[in-house]
Amino acid sequence: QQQYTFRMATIAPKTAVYNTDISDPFAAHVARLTDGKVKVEVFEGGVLAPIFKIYEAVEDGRADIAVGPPTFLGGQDPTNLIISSFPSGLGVDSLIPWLYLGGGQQMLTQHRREKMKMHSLILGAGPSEIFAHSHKAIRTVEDLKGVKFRTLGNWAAILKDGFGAAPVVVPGSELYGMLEKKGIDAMEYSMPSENKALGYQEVARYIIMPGIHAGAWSFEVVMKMEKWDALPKDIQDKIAVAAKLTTYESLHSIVMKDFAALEELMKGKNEIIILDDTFKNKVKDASRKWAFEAAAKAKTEGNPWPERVAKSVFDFQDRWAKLSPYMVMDHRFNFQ
Amino acid sequence: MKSTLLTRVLPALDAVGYALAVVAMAQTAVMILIMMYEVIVRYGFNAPTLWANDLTYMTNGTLFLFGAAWTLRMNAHVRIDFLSTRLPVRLQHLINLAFYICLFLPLIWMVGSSQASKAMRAYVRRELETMSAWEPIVWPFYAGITIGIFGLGIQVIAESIRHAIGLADPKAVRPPGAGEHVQA
Amino acid sequence: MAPETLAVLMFVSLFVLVFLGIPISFSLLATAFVFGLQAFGPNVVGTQLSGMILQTAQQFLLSAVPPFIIMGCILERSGIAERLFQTMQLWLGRLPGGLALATISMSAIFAASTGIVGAVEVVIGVMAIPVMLKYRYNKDLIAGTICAGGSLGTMIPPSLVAVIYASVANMSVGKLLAAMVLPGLLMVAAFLIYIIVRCLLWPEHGPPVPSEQRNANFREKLMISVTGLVPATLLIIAVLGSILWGVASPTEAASVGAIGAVLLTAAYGRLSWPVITDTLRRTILINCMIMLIVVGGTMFTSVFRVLGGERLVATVVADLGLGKGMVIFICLGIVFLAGFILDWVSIVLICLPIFLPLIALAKIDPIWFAVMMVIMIQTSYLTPPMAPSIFYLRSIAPPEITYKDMCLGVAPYVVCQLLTLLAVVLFPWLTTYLPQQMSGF
Ligand code: NA
Ligand code: NA
Repeated sequence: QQQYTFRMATIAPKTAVYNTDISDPFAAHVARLTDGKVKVEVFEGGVLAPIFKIYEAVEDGRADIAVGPPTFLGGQDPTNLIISSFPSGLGVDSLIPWLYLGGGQQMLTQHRREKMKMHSLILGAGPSEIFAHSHKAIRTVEDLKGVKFRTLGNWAAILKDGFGAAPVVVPGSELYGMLEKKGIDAMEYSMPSENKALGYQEVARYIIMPGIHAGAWSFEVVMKMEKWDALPKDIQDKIAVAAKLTTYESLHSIVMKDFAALEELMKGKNEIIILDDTFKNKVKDASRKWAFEAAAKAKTEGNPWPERVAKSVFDFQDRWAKLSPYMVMDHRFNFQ
Repeated sequence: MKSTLLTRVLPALDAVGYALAVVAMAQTAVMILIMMYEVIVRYGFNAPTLWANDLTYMTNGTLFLFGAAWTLRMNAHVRIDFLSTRLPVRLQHLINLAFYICLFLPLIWMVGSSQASKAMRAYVRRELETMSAWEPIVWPFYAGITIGIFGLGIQVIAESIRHAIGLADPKAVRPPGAGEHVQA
Repeated sequence: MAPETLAVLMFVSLFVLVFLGIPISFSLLATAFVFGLQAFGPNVVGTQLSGMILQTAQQFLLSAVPPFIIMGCILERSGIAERLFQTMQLWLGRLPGGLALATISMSAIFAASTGIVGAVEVVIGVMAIPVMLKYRYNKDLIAGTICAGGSLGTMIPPSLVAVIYASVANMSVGKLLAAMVLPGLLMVAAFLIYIIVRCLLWPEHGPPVPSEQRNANFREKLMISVTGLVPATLLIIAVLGSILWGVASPTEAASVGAIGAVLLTAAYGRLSWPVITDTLRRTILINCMIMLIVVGGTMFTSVFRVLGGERLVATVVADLGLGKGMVIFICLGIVFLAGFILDWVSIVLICLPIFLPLIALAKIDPIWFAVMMVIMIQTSYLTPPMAPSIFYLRSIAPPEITYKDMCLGVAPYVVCQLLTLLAVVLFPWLTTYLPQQMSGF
């Protein structure tokens, strides 16, 4: 019986949830399901490749597989900015259904094979981030005007063009200090559990939720297509099952961590602001406008993918919203 | 032969390294001005740029490689030489020569050519810096790193020639490890 | 060969090259290359290593390094550092080992405006070495004092070590910096006490400065002090002030400081084209030296980890029992030993991921532990052979100060650092008091 050992590139330190709740459990599931035939060696971010270059590492052969967010591939092909997480995109409830039943994983796999000669599986998902830690109370979109808001990528573009905010580029390690000293007015970073560990609540009064700029997110695991295709069918199936299991588990295990963090946060002296529907709808309009403009531009350049993915996400989201009233949800809209 | 090397070839190779170092000096000044500009427009005018951060690290990330060759020429790469200087000078030249030929030049060649092909690929694919709000093209940055690595390679060749000369005639070149004293 | 054996052999090879007189950075690079061939094969090793160059080149934080060096170089030329040193000399000269006391005090002030070791050490070294040599200070005392003073650069905030540590450990940089203030001052005090005690016991090791300056009248003293202190104070305000008032990030503050230093030099009428070019030339030499070591360390660390070096360390730690005190003792012991042969970046990168789960398991306060780690990392600057402080000193010291002087000289200061560490171990409030006082918002 042939044995396989795969070096896996990841994007974060060993202790971050991206490894404790996604990469490590995946490696364990793969080993268990294949009776130890497949061994996944998890390497922390930066060991096999700079963290933003994990896809390149797979392409060059430094890593056999890589786990990370498609957003790391950037805006050259806007597909990557829309498919795993998107401002005003899918929520914690609708993300996994779209990925596995709404065509998400299918499109992702097809896109990777066609455009990157890689095989991809959804691996890992997570809940909403915190919208902002802020010195200014942001309740309406008008409050965003002129706010020095630390963020990255397409959300920076939407905030700037749609709402007149002043996006600031600050590296993660300097965020705390810049927020503390009011060098920036507001910032987004990650989920409640991560943000709380980094202590942003200590230095800015307002904590603004929910994180509609990243309502829910998913990661993928990629491998060179020829390498994947050479694997026996039963091994492929077992790896796919391990990935899917990890996705379901990670979303909820991270929620549990966030709950623990939120309970602590609410005991503190911060003021929590919950964004209302007017705010959410205006952001949704601006975000979709951005997506369709980017998709239209890509289409004229001969890339139909962004439009296809955007349409799929937004249709699924609208359908979910329309039909979900029949469901009993334990969700509430504020902390009272 | 030896005098041609000493009077023509080596000065020419050294000049490449120094020219790169001059670029690095200019980059240092430019980088500081960029950071200062960002501070002023962000704090003074509430108008932060999206490009200053990227431009800063790209400048800093290439300038240290641009200066690496000249730093070698000036012998400012720190060595622990309290043991090695007790060896015969010829042996010291031999050790350095062997290190450069057997280990360091192959290393430079492999790393440099890999970086060159990355720069080439980035140019052909028009790759953008992904984790940035500005999304600049990355090939100039990659090309800068490549030039810096090969620049260091040229200086290593020059130093190898010096050590080879020193192996034959220790008086013709300065002993290994001796050089300008960096005073900062 | 088992990967773990290769991981151990990496260190052996590194030492062989280093002691053969090959530059440290080149030795790191070459070792990473040879063992990288083992780990990745000839087709991939080039990409892997160039990836690590890219990783270093992309670190925004490192763009603080050249401006901090410029600041140091230009301060020396402007005469600002000289005046500050004169002032310190004036007030401390009477005491035994007065010049060494002045050097440490001045290092502490400079450390408050810069976050790296090299800049502090180079500035104070260039000024203080000739003066101390002139007054026939003991050479190992000179060497040790300069190295130890330099190491304050990252012990007193702002600190590059703290920033990197916090980002790896996912903790608040601000809290860590605040927690370091009291231990940092304690370390300064330990250094000063060592100098006084030594020079009381052996007055010839640090003879007093001659009387003409000491006998200056109060008015003159005041004038010298004002002209000596004001420019340095302005510069600290420019750097620390721009951070504290939210004008600039700590990285940008380095550039603010560099521009401030240039402006001050111009105000003193000492700015000229030769001064500018000379400053830039020296900056390039020092910056390239430092950065190539960082690149080499990053490559070395990455190959070491791919070969399973991390598992090796983790197994050793796991085998030794898990009491709270033992965990702290073993972790710090490993850092101390690693400090002899690794640079601090590698120490943080290799050790921290292994320690963090142990710390969490043993319920040790992460901030307290972080401060202990940062103090222990300070010893790595001083412990040879991989002793950055000694490297910097060698780049500026005259040949009559030998490598042996340097190694002897740093030893008592390492003891002072370990005593500071002991104080922090015994009195955790040293690290928790200030962070609790932080107002927040
Ligand atoms: Na400092
Ligand atoms: Na050391």
